[in-house]
Amino acid sequence: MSRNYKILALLILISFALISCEGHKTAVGGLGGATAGGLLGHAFGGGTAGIIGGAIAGGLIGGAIGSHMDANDRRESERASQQAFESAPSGQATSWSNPDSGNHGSVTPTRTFQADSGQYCREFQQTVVIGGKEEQAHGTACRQADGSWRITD
Amino acid sequence: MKTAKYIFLVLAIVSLVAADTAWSDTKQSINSEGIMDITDLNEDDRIDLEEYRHRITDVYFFLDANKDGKLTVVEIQRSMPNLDADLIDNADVNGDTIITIYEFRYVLYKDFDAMDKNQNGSLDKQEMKTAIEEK
Repeated sequence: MSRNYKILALLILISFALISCEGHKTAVGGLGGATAGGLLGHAFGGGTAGIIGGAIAGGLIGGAIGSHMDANDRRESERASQQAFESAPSGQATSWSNPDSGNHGSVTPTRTFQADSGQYCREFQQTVVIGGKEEQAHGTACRQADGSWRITD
Repeated sequence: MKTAKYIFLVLAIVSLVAADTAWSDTKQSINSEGIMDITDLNEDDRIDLEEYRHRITDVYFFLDANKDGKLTVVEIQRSMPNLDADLIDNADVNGDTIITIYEFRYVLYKDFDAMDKNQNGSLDKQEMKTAIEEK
């Protein structure tokens, strides 16, 4: 084999080695403090909910207090919940109020996670004040394919 | 009179653009105080690994624009156009152009370790300030 062929064979081998390495990063580092900080501190959310006014499947607040919520209370509560699940960072409350009844409340996502299916779920805490009485509840809502949220727990 | 109207119109447009830019700069500015406010859930002036993980998952959720449970570099750039695409691409460990939540966490956990200068398992304001000032 001439010297030129040997060099050519060597180059081909090196090329294959490089191609096989592509797509498999053996030594992955972090993104760097500035990038990580940029991600952590970015002001996400604040947009409109996926489905404005979309019904939240499943009851948020039950019991005697819940039964005293009128249709407008429920509508406002559902709107706030939809917006909180879709747009609010964990720990940030989204409030609602019904000026006609004086009832009000808030929904605060407390944790976000992905189910095995890839579906997003958010644990939340809800507070309602109905007729001056406060009630709290917590649960889990999962995002449906159509952008609505369903209370699962 | 017509010229004056044009001048007024131009000035109004310039003012609106300037105001919008200033607002955007304010919104995009990243500082350690802001990061602590949103990440330090128990308000002890430190970000522990659990709080960090919560925030990472929130960030992943918000970056995933179509909410299909998978993140692409394009989605990240859409939300944060100033981020270095090559660095973000680094998170795609297996090179399939999709950054899973596990890959996302993996690279950001490495950053947590790097930012935690005194290796006490949490990030304080000074460590966070130092990290975001690093190039």
